[in-house]
Amino acid sequence: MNIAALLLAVLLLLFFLLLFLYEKGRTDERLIAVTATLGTLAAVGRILFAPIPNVQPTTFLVMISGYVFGMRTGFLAGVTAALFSNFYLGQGPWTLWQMIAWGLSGASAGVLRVLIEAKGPGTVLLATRSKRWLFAIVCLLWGYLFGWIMNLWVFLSQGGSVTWGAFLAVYIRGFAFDTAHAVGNFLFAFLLAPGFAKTLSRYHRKLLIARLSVEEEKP
Amino acid sequence: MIAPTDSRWRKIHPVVVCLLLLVHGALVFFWENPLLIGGQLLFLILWAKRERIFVDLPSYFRYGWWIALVFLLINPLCASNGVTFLWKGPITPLIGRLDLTAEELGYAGMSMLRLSILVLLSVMYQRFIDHDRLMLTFSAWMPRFVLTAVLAIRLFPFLEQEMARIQETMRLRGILPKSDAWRDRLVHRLFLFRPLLLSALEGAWLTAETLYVRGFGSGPRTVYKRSRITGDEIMGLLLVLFIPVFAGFALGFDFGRFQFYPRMMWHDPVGDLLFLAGLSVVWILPLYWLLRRQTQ
Repeated sequence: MNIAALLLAVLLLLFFLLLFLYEKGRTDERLIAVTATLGTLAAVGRILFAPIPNVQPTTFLVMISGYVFGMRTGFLAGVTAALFSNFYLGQGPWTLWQMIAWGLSGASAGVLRVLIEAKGPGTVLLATRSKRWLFAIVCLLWGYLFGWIMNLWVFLSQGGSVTWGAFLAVYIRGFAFDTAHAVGNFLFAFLLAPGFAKTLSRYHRKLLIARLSVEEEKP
Repeated sequence: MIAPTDSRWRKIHPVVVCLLLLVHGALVFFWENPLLIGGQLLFLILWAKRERIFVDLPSYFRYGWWIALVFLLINPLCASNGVTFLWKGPITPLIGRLDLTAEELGYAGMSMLRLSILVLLSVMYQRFIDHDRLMLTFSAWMPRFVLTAVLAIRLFPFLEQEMARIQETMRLRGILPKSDAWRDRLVHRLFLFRPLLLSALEGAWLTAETLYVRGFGSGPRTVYKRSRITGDEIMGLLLVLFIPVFAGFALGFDFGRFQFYPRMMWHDPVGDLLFLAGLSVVWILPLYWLLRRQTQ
């Protein structure tokens, strides 16, 4: 059995652990509905843009979800997007790797928000030009990171005879596709991020208010 | 629609079918023997042909073959394994000498066969599995994930309808792509995305409210109706599980050994042929057993 199969088994176990945490965590019906919606929307984006190699709004949508709703929702939206878009585009061992790559991109956007945005209920997200540029650049970087994570799977699935030459070959071969993904991400983020952040923030506030009012209703 | 729903495999318990495909997927990584991998591919092709899968093989798979061909050529060029040189090229920074050896080409060919099996299994998964039934099987243990999944699956047709509605509204307002050029169509599609987001979030909110009114999370839950596994299917499941046991047992006796580097070496071709014959029987048994139930 080669290292790719072993890593797949480890990833599968990791996802079962994450699923267990998701089941045991405090996830209310609103967050479930919003997560499913954002994940599906990202998946639909991927299917719509499938004819253009590696250019799709999925990474941007997952990242903007993570940026607005936080790390956990971002991760789950990424996982959902990979899993459900592959119902159309084809499931395989690569699905687990896509789930982890998109999940991590969503979670990293949540971390970015914590780092650059002020805390508080009235905060307008991506309000300044520098923040928009920074978000777009992180989206661009995730275009490459996503490709590199997937290249790792391609490389490892080659079996026992792996060399530095083969490693570089896989990454060189994928560079053009990764660049297309990165540039696509940058353009989506640069053009759509402020508008999407505004729309999603409105729903995030609605979610928080609803949760507060439910807690107040409790005896 | 996710996939045509007329496959007879959809009538069998999805966990059994899923496990059968998963076992075939895992077997690909068991050995690096072109005969065994080629044999498995041939078996899967015959099975797929019988199930009429090749009629509408999605276009992205055809596109994938070209990428695989590039992979087949670039990989041996950059790797430096093997001793039977077919071509020696220039020395490049980082990668080293570009060359082609018979061993590298053989290994790349085997990787292609492996990829073909995975792609074929992926198409079979699309055709043979009823996603709803598979999800609902896990509803007792993972209710929140299953709820998220079921909502997401339901959202696909909803978003499709919403997209058509938004496009129709745009068309009525005279907002169309400037031309048939891909750039204009892309800009037009991007333009549709924000109303779709708004519409989808409104839908999510309504769903959440419905769940809240139904008392989601407040006490004992409703469990989805799950399909029961029959005695025949349990027998089929055992036959499926026998495949890796048989393969592992044979590998323990050194069947299927094939060495690519430094020089290609096939240790026991006759033994491997016999092993493949045995494997074919073990592969056919669960198919025969599970489909026997459908034809009775």
